[in-house]
Parts: sequence; structure tokens; C-alpha cells
Amino acid sequence: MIKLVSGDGAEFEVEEEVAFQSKIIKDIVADADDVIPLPTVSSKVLIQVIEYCRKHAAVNSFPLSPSSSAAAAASSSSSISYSKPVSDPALRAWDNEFVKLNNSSLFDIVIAANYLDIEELVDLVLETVADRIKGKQAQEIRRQFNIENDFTPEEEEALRRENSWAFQNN
Amino acid sequence: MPQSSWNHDRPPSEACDGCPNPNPVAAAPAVDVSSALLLVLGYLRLPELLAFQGVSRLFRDAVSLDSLLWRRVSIERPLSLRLTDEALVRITSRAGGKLEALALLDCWKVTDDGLMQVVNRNRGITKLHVPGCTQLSADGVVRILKWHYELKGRLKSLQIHGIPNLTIYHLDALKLLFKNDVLQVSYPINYNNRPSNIFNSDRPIDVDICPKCSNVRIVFDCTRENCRLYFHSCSIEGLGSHNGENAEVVSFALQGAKTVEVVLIFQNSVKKLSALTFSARHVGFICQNATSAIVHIAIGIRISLKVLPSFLVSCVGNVWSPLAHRINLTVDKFLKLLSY
Repeated sequence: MIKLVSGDGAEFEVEEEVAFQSKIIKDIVADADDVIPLPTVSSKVLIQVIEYCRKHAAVNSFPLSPSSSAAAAASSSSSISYSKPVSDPALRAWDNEFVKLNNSSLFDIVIAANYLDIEELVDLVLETVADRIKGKQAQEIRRQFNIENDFTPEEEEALRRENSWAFQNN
Repeated sequence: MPQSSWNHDRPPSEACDGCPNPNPVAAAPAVDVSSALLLVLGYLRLPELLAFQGVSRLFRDAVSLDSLLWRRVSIERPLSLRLTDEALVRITSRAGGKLEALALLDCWKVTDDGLMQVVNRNRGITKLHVPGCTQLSADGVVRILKWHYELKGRLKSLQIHGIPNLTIYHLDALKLLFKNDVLQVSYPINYNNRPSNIFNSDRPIDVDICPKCSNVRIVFDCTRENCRLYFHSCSIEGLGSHNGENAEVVSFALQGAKTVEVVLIFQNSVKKLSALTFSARHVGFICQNATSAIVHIAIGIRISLKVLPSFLVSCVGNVWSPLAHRINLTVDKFLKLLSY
């Protein structure tokens, strides 16, 4: 078991396969019972990330390994016989449920996942956010994410000229 | 008038702090929103990427200065209908000469000149998809890609359906530009198996010669087993089984046929033989009357040594299935196989 410590001091014990979904943890773990402090990750976010890793560790590994089948049982997975994470429709459905969060929660998760180098989770979250931005104009994006417009009128005019081919007749 | 519209566009940021914001994101620390959104940029398509440029200075600079965001450019509707040569050159120049993949879907305004400029500035381009770009000419595309090839550029994937006046001569010229792929098996595109990502096609060239009308176009799979059998006569040139490789080789020549099919059937995995390479000249040697040759392989099919012409029919039917794989054999190995 590997112990992860969140920024607010909460400790989480997880199986190796679960923790090793993070490439960074896989690289730095030397001992089987290491304690890894994650000062930039809050316990709320870490719980979500572990939930994701536990599910994916269970689906990705072979059912014969006792620890992974325990993890699989914990996440009540029924389809652990195939190591096809991307094309597994059950896992994809689970992923789709997982990202039904507001943008701010997704951002917290993706920053943590990026920091921990969990590639699949980064992809999943960023694709979800990209999907929510689809079809939006600059003004709508600013409003959606509460970003301040810091352009001078001249800069804005220059941008408008540059991209005029794309935004005419809109 | 423009001045007032700027003020209107700009969100009243200071006043906003006090008023309730309908979006829960407002509660998150601003630094996290920006750094997370910077990560999102790599996942956006062109319209949103351009929109993000207009969001703030941070994103304007992030979008226009990060050449990695521009290595794979895909221009689809509705932007494709507005894309001019000038805009194309400007957009692709953001890759800093490192453009890898370019997809222009139905870009009616893009001409040979525009495409030439892009290919000229991006020698490393490997995927070029220009279906439905009706201002391009077949001659122009062949000229551009030949030139690209002469400058050591190597394409892996080309989509050109919908370009006017494509002929078999254009197709032949283009096929020569694919390294190691002269003997490519261009099995038909299956209707139900269209790739969702336009860059994910594993076919080197999207078009083929239609077996029915002989035009150059997209050729779809046919469920009729004998659909693609347009051979009139078969003569078996060589037949053998090679115990060491567990393979059986059948070749058949068609008197006066333009195309000759050499069929290799392996009972085991293709991996065992994947190191072998094969020369086109020797197919010509075996099949004297042929002007071109194609090698097909079917895996896992057991055949009887007593091969009958009727068997060949079903064999070729199998080979045309999407399960067929391409393989290369060395000349020596191939002749050795045939000598049994």
C-alpha cells in the first residue's frame, strides 16, 4: 500500500496499481510502503483522482492478480477480463459520468492530474472542457470562465482584422 | 460607434466582484482557471482556437506563439467555405514550418498556388487531406506533391476525392510518391467503418479505380463476394508450401490482364514473415503480361494443395476484405517460396 498525503494533511492509503496510474508516483516510489506528500492537491480533489485511478486500475489490469480484483470488486466492475481501457464501453460510460462536474471542479482535477502525470485523466477532462467551449465566441468564453478583457481597442481591432476571414457573416 | 461597441464587449470586471455570478467557475482562483484553460488549448478545434485569441492578452499570446498548437490544422465547415489562400498561408505559418498534417475539407477558395506555398514552407508534412477542394486541379496536386517528394518530403496519407478531373494517370503518378508503398493494397473503404478522426485513416490514398466505371473515386466495399472479380481467365504460375514458414504461396497470371494479383496465404501470424521484403520487378517476371502487380495476404486461411481455379475465386474474395494485410517479401525469399 502507498500512502498519499493531500495538501490539507489528509492521508489516503491506496494499492500500488491505483497509485501507479500516475506516472510521476510510479517513478518516485522506491519502497512498497512509501508516504508521498502532495502539497498542491487538496483532499477533495485527491479523493476524486483516486476514484478515477481505482476504476481504471481495475479495468486495465488482469483479473488474476488478487489485489487488482479486490480493487475491481471495490469499484463493482463487471468487465475486468479485457485490458482494453479506451474501447471498453462500460469504462467510457463510467468516464462520462465521472466528468459530470462543474468547470471549476474539472479544472482542479486536471491541474492535479497534470501534476501527477495521469495522461488518460488529463485527456478526459480537457476533452470535456473543450466540448463545453465548442461553438463559443470570445465574448461567451470570457463570460463562461469569468476572464477579464484586457485588450486595448487597437489590439482588439488588430485581432479582428487578422481573423476577419473566419468571423465574417457571423 | 466602434468605441461604444468596445465598451459594450468588455465585461465590467470590477463591478462583477460584487454581483452574484451565475457561473460557479467564478469561485475558483483565477490562476487555476488560466492554467487549466491553457491546457485546454491543445484540445480545441480551429474555430474555438481563433475565438480564444480574442479572449485576453494571455490567451492571444498563448495561441499565436505556441507553434505546437498549429502542427495539425484541420479546416472544416463553416470556416472552410471562407478560407482564402492568404488566410491558409497565414494560419499554417504559425506552425513555424513544422506543419505535420493539413486537412482542408471542402475549401472551395483554396487554389494550387495556396497549397504550393504551404507545402513549400512545410517540408515535413506527412498528411494532406484536401477532399472537395474544387479549386485545386489534379495536375496541380500531382505537380506539388512530386516537387515535395523531390525535396525529400514523404507523405503517409493523401485524400483527394472530389478534386476535379482526377484520372488513372494522376493516381499512378501519386502512388509512386509513397515510400515503400508502391505495392500498397488499397482495399475498399468500408461504409460502416469510416474513421471518426479525419487524420486516422490508414489508407495512403483515399481514391481508387472503380471496378465498374473505371473512374478514379472513392471505392466502397461491396457485400457481394464476387463483386471485385473482374478476371476472365486464370493460369496458375506457381504453387507451393514452405514448411519452415508455414506458408502457402499461390500466384496466378491473367493473360492480357492489366493487373495481376499474387496471393500469399499464411496459416500463422503475419509477424513471422514481416521482415521479408518483396520486389515488384519479380512479379513482373512471373507475370509477363502484366503492367502492374498487387500483393495480397490473407491470414489464418487454410488452403488445400490441390488448388482449383474455383478456390482462387473465393480466396480473392477473402483477400479484398478489410482484414487483408500488406506485406513485403525479399526477392530471394519470394522465389524460394515459389520454387517449391
